[in-house]
Amino acid sequence: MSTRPALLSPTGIAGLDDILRGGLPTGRATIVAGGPGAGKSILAMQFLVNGAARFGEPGVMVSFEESESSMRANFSTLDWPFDEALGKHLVVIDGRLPEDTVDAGTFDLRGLIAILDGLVKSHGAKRIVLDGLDGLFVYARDEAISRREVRRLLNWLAASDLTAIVTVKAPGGAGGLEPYLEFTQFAADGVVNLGYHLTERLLYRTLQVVKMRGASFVSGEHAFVISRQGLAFAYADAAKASMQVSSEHHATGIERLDRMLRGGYRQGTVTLISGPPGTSKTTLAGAFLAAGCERNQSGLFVGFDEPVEQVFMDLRSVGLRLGDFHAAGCLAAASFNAGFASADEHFLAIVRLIELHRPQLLVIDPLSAFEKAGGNRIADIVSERLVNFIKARGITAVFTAVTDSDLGERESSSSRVSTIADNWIHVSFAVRHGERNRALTIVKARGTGHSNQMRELILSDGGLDLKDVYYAQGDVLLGTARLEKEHQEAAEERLRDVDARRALALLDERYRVLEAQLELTRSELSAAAEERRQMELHVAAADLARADDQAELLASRRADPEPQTVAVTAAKGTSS
Amino acid sequence: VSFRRTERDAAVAMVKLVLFVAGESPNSVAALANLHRAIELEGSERFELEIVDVFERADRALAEHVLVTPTLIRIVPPSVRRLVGDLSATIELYAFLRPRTLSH
Repeated sequence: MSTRPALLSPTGIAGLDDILRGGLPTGRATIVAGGPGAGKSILAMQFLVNGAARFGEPGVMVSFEESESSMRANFSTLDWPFDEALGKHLVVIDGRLPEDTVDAGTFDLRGLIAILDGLVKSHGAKRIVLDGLDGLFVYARDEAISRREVRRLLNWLAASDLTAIVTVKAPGGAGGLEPYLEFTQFAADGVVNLGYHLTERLLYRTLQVVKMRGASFVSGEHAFVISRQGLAFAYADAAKASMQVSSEHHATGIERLDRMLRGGYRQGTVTLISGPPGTSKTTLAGAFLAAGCERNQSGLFVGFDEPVEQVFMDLRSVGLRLGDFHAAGCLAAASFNAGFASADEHFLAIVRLIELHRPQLLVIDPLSAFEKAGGNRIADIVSERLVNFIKARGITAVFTAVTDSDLGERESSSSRVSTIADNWIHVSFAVRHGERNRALTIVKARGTGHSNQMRELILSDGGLDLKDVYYAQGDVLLGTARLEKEHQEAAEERLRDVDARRALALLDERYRVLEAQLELTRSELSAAAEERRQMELHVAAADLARADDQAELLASRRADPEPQTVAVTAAKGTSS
Repeated sequence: VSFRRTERDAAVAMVKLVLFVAGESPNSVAALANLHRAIELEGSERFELEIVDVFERADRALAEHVLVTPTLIRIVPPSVRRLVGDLSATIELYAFLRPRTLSH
């Protein structure tokens, strides 16, 4: 096989074409391996349906595991133009032997190949899927025959101009093929592994491109979800993401905060606003949307556990007229019940809203709702994917996160996001002398020389404002600055405590970054080990092939002087 | 292509067969030889045999769901069973050719 740069056939699967840098190599075969339920068939079918419906490439599906009717039933439940594609642009073949087949000697798969040849010609097919190749083993009583017939099919694919996906069950999880099928990983031009593991109570699915001859791809494990739309990857091209970040700023809705952030939220950045309940996080996020809408930018508000109307009504009391913007059409809004679906499903719902409305500004209130929908770890994963996704689209986003207490026990999704977010604003209460004041601190603001000073957040009918805080005896004085000196000592201790907690948070972040680097190095190490193992197998396969060639050479030398002998033997029916 | 056709005793014992082959591939050549020999021994006048090359008639292979070659299908008397392989398995082959004696 040559290694010239290949033409690519897009899969049309969200994110996967980015990972594949365009699609699967045209005219070549890609093995998709994975355990049962890993999503092999859906991926393969999506490739065909998209080919037929979107790229004008008719396709043929051969399943060695399912009947035609069960394939139809399975795929018709998905939100794809499957039924429309069936017939003219998509042909489905049951590749299993009829049940009442009686074994009466050696056979081969030339019948299937003849059928496929015929269908490819009559339908002008450009794509093909052989689904569940391991199902062939049921036909062919032993591994040697299975191997021979699998090789026959792969050779046929290689000789054709079809872009193919061949799915193979890996009983040992991703990469753990049956020994007699291991050679397919070398014979095929591309190898993709699908896997999953259970995190909290949810499935966490991953795809890894192992090789793709003549084409580049993004290495590493990529997370995906399966929904009624099929597979969706939250992969966001890092190059694309960085291209989307500009030096433009979006108003936060509070003039003073804009100044503190040296112009507002930078376009394409993610800002986390954390704080205990009642600290006006939603109001801050709403102010950002209102300011954007006033400047003719499109926004999207995603709320959890509170109807959108309720949120808009609350915000009206502080002069934020989001309801009007919503009615005018520049602001889209939706709210979800956090516990009703998994974090993954919420993620996908948000992705769909983003694709539908294509907003410039996004608010998720609160992001910590993800935790209700699946636990800490999955919330972390989903939050991170969401950040990547919106960054790749150059959207400027504000997430809120509910914390239990001041910079204390933060919920993990907000702590994870606080690491990957560009800006982190924390709002807290300072209760003193019967007054309850809101204090705002910019914990971090990437790439800006932001102010570290605490400000008092004032809410009024006229909107939001920030006021300087006064220092007296080393304490931050909020509200009416009626702090009395007799509390000096206690106040000083509180400030030290706040500083220490902030320092702790920053150390936590540093720790997580180092941990991530360590993880990366570990996976590089295991990838190197895997590469070495595959190379060993490759060398072994090459040795075997050489031995085969030699045997063939010897056989042909013996046959040459007496061609008649061979024919007679065949006629007697004792061949193969 | 149909051949070895005889009208005699057709009403009682006629057996119509279709053998799907893949050109001159070894398994197909062997199956044809094994089948011819069996038919001779069983009384060739009782059999009507059609040979279909899947590479020439992919449409018929598709219609009959012939994925592997060789495949032997019995049309009269009708049978859902089919034999696959080079027909070197003599017991299975003869049972298939004598539908009335061995309830195949």
